[in-house]
Amino acid sequence: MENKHFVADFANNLDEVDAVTIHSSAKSVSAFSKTIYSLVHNPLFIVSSLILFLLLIIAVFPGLFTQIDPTRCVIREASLPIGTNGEYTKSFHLLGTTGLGCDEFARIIYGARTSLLVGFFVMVISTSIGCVLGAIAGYFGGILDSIISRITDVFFAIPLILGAVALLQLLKDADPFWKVVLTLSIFGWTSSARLMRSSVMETKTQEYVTSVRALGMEKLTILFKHVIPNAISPIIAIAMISMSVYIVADSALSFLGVGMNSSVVSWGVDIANAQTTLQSNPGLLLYPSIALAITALSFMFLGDSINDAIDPKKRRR
Amino acid sequence: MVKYILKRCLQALPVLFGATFLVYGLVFLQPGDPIRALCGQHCPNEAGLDIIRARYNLDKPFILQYLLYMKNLLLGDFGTTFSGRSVSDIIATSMPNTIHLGLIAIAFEIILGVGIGIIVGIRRGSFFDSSILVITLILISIPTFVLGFVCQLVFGMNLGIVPPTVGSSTDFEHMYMPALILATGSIASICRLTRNSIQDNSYADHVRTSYAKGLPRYQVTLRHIFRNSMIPVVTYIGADLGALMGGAVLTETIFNIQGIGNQLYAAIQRGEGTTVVSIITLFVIIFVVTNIVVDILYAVLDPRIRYGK
Amino acid sequence: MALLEVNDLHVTFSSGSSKEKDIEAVAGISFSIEEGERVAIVGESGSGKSTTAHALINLLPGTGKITSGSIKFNSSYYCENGETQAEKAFVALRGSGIGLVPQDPMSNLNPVWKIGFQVRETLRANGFEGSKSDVNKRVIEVLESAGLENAKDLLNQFPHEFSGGMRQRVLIAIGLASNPKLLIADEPTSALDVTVQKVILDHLEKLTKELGTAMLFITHDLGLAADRSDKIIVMYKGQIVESGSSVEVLKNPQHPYTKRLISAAPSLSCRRMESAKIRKESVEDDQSPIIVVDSLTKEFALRGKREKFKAVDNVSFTVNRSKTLAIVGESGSGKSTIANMLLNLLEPSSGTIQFNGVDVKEIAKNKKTLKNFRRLMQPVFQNPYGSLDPLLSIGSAIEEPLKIHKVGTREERADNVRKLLDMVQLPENLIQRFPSELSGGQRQRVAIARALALSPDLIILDEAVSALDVLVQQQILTLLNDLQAQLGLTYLFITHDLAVVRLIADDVIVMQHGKIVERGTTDDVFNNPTEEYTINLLNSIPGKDIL
Repeated sequence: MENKHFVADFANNLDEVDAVTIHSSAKSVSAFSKTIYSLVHNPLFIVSSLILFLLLIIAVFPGLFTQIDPTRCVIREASLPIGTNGEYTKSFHLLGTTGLGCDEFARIIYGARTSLLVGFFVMVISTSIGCVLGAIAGYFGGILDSIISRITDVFFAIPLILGAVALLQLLKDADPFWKVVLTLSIFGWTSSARLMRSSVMETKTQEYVTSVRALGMEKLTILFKHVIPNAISPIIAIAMISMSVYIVADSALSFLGVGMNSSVVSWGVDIANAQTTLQSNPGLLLYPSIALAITALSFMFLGDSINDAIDPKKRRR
Repeated sequence: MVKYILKRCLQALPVLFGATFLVYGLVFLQPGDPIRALCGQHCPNEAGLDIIRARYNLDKPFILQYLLYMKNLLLGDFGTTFSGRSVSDIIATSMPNTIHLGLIAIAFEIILGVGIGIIVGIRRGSFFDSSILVITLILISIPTFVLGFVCQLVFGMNLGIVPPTVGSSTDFEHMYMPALILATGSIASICRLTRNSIQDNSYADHVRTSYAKGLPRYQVTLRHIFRNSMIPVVTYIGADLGALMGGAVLTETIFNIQGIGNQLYAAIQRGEGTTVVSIITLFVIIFVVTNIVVDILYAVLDPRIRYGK
Repeated sequence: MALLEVNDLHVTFSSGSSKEKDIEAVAGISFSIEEGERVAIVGESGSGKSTTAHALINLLPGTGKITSGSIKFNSSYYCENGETQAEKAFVALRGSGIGLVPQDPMSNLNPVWKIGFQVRETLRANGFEGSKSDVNKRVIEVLESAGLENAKDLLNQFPHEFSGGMRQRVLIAIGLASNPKLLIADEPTSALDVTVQKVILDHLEKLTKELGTAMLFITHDLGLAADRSDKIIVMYKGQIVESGSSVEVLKNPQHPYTKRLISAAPSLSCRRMESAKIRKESVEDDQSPIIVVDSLTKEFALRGKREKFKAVDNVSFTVNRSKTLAIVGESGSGKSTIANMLLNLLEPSSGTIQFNGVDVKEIAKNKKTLKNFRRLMQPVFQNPYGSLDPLLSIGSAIEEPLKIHKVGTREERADNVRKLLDMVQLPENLIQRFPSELSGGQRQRVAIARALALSPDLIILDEAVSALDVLVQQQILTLLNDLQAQLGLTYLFITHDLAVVRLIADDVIVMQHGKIVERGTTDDVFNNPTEEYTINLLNSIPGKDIL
């Protein structure tokens, strides 16, 4: 076909060129419901949320799972093996007993509450600090941004565990639970602050933000109505992942002897105490460790699947 | 480039002072008199206490205490413990072991993390890829000390493959397992980051253009995909050093490595504030300085950073 | 013997799941290119024109695959009955057989390698033997032939140190470095200013003519295609609807789609649109200008430099009621800065803006008057994908201005939203939808509806149709024109595209480097331009000499 003038059949439907309607059969989907859709089709999300739901129930109603008081320790029944009946207390020790004669299973059940609460409180506090500071720095910019960014840099330069060790030295006599929450929050907020700052900075240059500014919306209203809702989604995923970091960090602090002490029923404390009997009774270290790892893993999976669901880059593909 | 390095160093100074000041403040702002708390019932009279306070600069205003402390620290004098041992001495004897452990761990991070990351990054979407993604998540969430104890128990005590504790020996045979355990979480994170980075880069426009130029696949992969993908990985290794230092304290304690982390643990147990602060301050300084190095490396890898901004 | 023969080519993108349908991006096209011939494929986004180009060198993105058909280049088959040759054959073909000049100069050079290296590796990969100094000599040669002066000094520079035009020249140098027989130019200048575009295309044309290289030119711009090629292939939905010699297709289009494209192409029309609607006569017969700008200046402090950068330099103009004033300029001319100052989103460094006879600075002093002022002036921006909050439904997006200014009750507002949707010719069932479900043109209509919600006097259209396909662009322009007639709106139309100006504007201001270089009625400026820059701009409009 040299330079012949070729014309296709007129069969092409040109109506679509002018189409301004949407096929009525298509269901309306918001970004939110799309996210939910991709979440419930991710097996990792299903598994992790089921485990976390179970953990939540254990943490709220530990009595449903064991009748034994984890703090009632009978020295005559110390270090019993798996699945024995205590002669003295007449109670069945599913996972045996600790060196002090406490029921191991009960301690794991009750320890869930401590771990989840530490993770939850630290996540809420540190993410809130991070979001507020990050949003202020990113949205208002200028001198505020410089100050907040420098402060973030300073805190970021102190590794989480090390900073926590230093601060917990100071708080030796404070309430064991809250001092850990406070400490981890103080050194944990920096990453969410940095993320929020860059996310807000990106969102605020979007044209829809300029549009509402030109409509006369107040600067603060824009921040809360348009900027934060659009900027916050990556933070949610990171917050879930950070829960697992905090739960593990809490145990590490107990292990180092600066975190919670034996007055609290917690996995970390039990792991720390089990060091001495590592060779003779490794189960005492293993069971709370497994509980800890599963919890951390579930939050990790949850955060990762949320991240996959909201990551616009992946959605486009 | 020189200008960039100078600028970066200048920027790090306030961070360095801010962070060390913060750590210093945390411990020395404690209520009560540390000297009196320490000597308890065997305290000398007020005059004697004053002499001791003067020796530790405790009679001066707090900010001056900090500045004197930093001055000494920069001169290599980390002070003395209350029991009279020089902290510098402690650091000098234990630091090499920790550096040894850390270097092996970082080597593992780079070889295993980047290596596996590259393989899965190229074979994206395969079964291997998705299983590595799940496995890395599992590895990231297992606490270092749990992994340490389990490995010590299984490989050290039950199977006897590796020495269960390291003690004063620092040869590779003793060190590789603790180092591997210390690096596990980072290996997994670096593996994921490398994979994602390689995937993102393979879709880049300039990669397609490189193919269109007639470059064979291996050249495109090496020059245009790997080279660009390493930029975020290098930054991550720097930022991750903080986690590595925290982990070193745990690993050294478990395996009884005579390193600085073990000394920190011992100081915590003995309640020696000065030593704790000195060691943590040292860690913070190392962290900040390595991150300057990493930033410079970043600028070497990415010319856009060197100029502009 | 034709250089390239494509026969019944099909390309499919598989969706990867059984639920979603595979997409056939190219549905059986055949064409050929002779040695030294220049052929253009013209089509809107989604027509399959770029996919065709990438299929030729087996670089289809993602899941794309050639499913059937054949590609024959230089007498050997690279694809026969849907079976493509091994990668090795294509590695040999690319660069030396078929070169590519990609679309976006900003993202197509690797930022971490020096320019010299990126040209050098092209030469080496295509079998350039010789010592290091020989290669460097050749690198300098190809860069200079692509129009880069002092190429020697550029070798050790990185892409980010170059302007877009310079980067595109580097890409042209790379594409032609190994003397390919065919050069695919995939929208090579759509990211560049028109004057730069013209210079680069002129140069590319000269080069390929000298070397006897055939060219496959991929573009959305019919005028550009006609200007730059011997033959035109019009694609729509993966199929060729019409093809033939450029003059023939343009002057005597047969297919209804081609006819539509030609009538919509702004560069090919020569007069202002007439609205079907009867123009609303100014009721109050108010002839005073709506905006008077007097010696407006905006300076920005540059990082690391003491001297300030003057984005807008002593600009004065007036905007007449119920008319359209277009501000035309290339990137960096300061036109968008003016828009932002008028909207009171940026504060002028000096000069005054009067709106309905009142100084805007006075208005801005009081929050309440400022809010009222904002009701009367609304913007519509360029990017249809960024102009709507992805979390708000279309209904709430259009309702938002009414809510901010507390207009009406809930029911009244809902009623109002329906009326506005009707005004921009969108169906009511869009109210519940979200921006991600809409096409670019639909989103732009929503943005216009939102701008109209408060019945403003003036709408600032900042490149409002620049990102749209030609046919959609024409629809939106028609809509804007009708709305102006119906509602007596005043438009300030900011654009880089002189061709569009002709269609919609009554008066024009041409800007360069922050200054006004020419002003007048549209007819005056187009027919009797006086300034060299304007003449240059007008000459750069592609396709205007064809008809």
